[in-house]
Amino acid sequence: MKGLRLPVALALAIVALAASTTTLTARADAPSEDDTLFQTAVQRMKEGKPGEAIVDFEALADHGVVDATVSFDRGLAYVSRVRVGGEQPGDLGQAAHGLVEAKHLTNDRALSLEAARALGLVRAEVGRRRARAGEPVEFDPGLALGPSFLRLLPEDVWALLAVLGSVVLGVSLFVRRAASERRSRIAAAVTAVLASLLALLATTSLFAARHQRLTATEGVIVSAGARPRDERGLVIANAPVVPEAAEVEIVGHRAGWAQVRWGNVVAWIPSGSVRPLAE
Amino acid sequence: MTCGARRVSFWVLVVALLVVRTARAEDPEMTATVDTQRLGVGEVLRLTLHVASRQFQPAHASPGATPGFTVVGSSSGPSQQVTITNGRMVTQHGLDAAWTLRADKVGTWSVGPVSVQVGSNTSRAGPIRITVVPAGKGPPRAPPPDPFDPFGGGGLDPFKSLLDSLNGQAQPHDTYGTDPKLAMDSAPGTVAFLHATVDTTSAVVGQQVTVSMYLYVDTSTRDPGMVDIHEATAADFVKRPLFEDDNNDRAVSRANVGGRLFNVRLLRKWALFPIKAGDLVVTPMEMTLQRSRTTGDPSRKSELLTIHVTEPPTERRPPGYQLGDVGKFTLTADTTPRDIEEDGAVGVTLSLRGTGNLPAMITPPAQAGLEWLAPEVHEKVGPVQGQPEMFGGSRTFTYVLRIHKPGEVHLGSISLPFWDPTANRYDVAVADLGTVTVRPNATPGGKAVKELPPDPFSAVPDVLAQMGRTKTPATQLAEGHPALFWLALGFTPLGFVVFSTASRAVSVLRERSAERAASPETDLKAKLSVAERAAKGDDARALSSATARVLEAATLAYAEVNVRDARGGEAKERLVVAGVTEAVANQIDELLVACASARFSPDAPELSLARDRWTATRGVIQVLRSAS
Repeated sequence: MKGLRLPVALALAIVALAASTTTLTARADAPSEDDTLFQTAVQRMKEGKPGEAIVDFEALADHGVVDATVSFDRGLAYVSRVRVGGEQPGDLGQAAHGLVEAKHLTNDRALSLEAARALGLVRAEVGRRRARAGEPVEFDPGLALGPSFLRLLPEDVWALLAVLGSVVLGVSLFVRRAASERRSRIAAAVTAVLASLLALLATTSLFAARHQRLTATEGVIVSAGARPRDERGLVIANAPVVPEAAEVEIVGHRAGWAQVRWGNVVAWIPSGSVRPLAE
Repeated sequence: MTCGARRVSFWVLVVALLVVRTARAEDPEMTATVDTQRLGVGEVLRLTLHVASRQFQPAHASPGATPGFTVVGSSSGPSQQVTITNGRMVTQHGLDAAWTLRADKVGTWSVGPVSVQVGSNTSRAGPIRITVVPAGKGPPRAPPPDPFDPFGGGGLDPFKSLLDSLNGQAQPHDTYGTDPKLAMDSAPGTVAFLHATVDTTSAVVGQQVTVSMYLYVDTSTRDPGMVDIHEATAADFVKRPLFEDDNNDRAVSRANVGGRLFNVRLLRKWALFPIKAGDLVVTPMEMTLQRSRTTGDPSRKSELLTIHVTEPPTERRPPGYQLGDVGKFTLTADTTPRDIEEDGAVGVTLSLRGTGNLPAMITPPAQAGLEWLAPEVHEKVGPVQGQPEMFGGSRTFTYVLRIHKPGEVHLGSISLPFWDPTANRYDVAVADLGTVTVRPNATPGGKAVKELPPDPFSAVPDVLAQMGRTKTPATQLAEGHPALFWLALGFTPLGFVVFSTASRAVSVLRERSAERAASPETDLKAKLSVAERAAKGDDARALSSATARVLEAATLAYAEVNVRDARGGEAKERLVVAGVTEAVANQIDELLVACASARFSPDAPELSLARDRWTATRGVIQVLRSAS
């Protein structure tokens, strides 16, 4: 009897191990809730039901899913709702948001181009409507000088330039010290001055760009247009209305309000008018 | 009895009755009553006096002795009634007085007699015996009437209780006749004050928060009147009144505030729906007392209410949930007709019912071939019947839906996710719109007559069916490797600084070392060392030479006089000029001469003499050092 116990126990252990392994494998293979939601949304888009697809895509966003394809499809779902005649206010802005977000999130060139093309169509439609209403059509007024300068180069390039300037500065100082000829000493001094300027400028730009990256968020206008207001909530006279689907930089928040930079305009708009891009 | 006698008797009786009745009518009619003759300790009773007189105005009513009781409130008011009967005017003066007595001790007590002055006489009624039992043992009682209520609140308004129950205003009262829910520990103001309450101090965005504003008036004073009323504001809420008209008077309750009795009137009752998260405030309601007997500040304001508002949880949040949809909703749909021709229209009626802030808009399910026209909205919202504390009702959306594709068209379903605060979970109200049979358009060329506008989005690509294509966030060089970055940035400049500093330090050290090596003291020390070694040897010439060098170095170090090149007594002169005593100068000169003789003598000098000169030289050096 005792002789039988060990083989039986071993057999049971093997069966249990196999069962647990199978279960784990099945769990690993099972699609996640987000995957299911995404597939459902795609299916609804194919069935011509963009309204229901939007609900699912927005649920994915609520779940914190940050995915270039999801953003791209969400933008297309809003476009599709406009196409089938079920447009809700802000749909074109939401479409632009999804497409801009897809561009930002991907490094896939094909997807980026597709998103840019669709975004162009959305903005063209917004522009056509604004032009028909006699409103100015301008989505990108350009950046102010400072942010434009900072965006000339990536942060890493600013960092490398700072290091390069620093190294050249140090070397030229050594050369100046070691050189005996006057001409060599002057050349080394001039190089040191220029290198120190380069190092200072690049370091300053690096930290300004980093500060901007950490404190400012980009967003898209998702209402029919946002009228810039001042600190007190009063409309700023002669300030242009930020059009739907325009990209802005969100630089601050207050209860119910968002401070945005659009070109040279820095103003407050209702926080519901702008939707930040996922990062 | 004869007929004449009967007639006489009859008229005598009539006259007698008239005399008695006239006599009685001239007396003041006086009635003193209590609303209960048995009550518990701490409970209050109401002692009421009614006096009427045809001659004088009754005045100065007094409850008399009130052993075992404390008078916590009183009121009185004169009245005058004029009647004209058969051309004769009769004026009747009246006085109604009431006292609120709080029982303090157990026992049977005689209250009164109640007295009142009528003309020059004082009339009395009572006393009234009242039994006070231990607290809580008294019989249940109805709330006492309001002394300022024109209806008296005591049974003259037969519809009051009915209306209260219909309006949901019936309040539970304790056995003291006061509403314990309105009781307060202390009164924030004399005569009258405002008090604000909220049913919860934490809620989610969109959840109903019920705010009530009460006016408390001391029962022992007259209504002070309110002027300059400033409503409370709730900027971060959607405000829905739970009364149809805030200005309507509502039932009065009683409350015990710090041992005093107050009439409490509910002025405002609002359902507030927060529109954002955060610590949101409801500002105080303010007013000014019009007829205040106090000399203090007549302004009164309610409390500032702060409600902590959060968002409903994101876990298990259903798709399509809109922030603010909080309550308990049901959704029904009715689609008619179910059989139409292509491009025809059906009516879709959505009925949304429930409690909470009903969503103002429901987005119909857009799909290709369906054209939803703008809905017609009817609503009936307000306090929920049977739940007067809750706001809700129904909102009906009537859509016209045109269908542009033939076949069995399933319209889809409409779902409204919401957060149920009572169940503390999400729920979804769903209504299926059903299927409509759409027959192909039988009109010849019917489809062609309508020219569709150009589609601006015809070039839009199809959706992608696979998730992904998301770039991994790049790590910035300066952030990813901060130590390396700072090292690279500062290595060469700091290296130069360190190198320069070190070089400079080395130079300075060398210079100082050289300076130290060239000093007379260092020279003397070195020559002393040489001389010491020579003294231990047996070379008298070398010792003499070393002794001479020591003397020269010593005069230079201590007297700053160079005697090396001195000849024929010059050394002595120079030393004297430099301040060395003549004896010492003379000794030095002699030693120098002796050493020179020994050094340059052709014969070998004697070692003992050389050592003696060395010994003498050491003594001279000691003297020179002391003198310097």
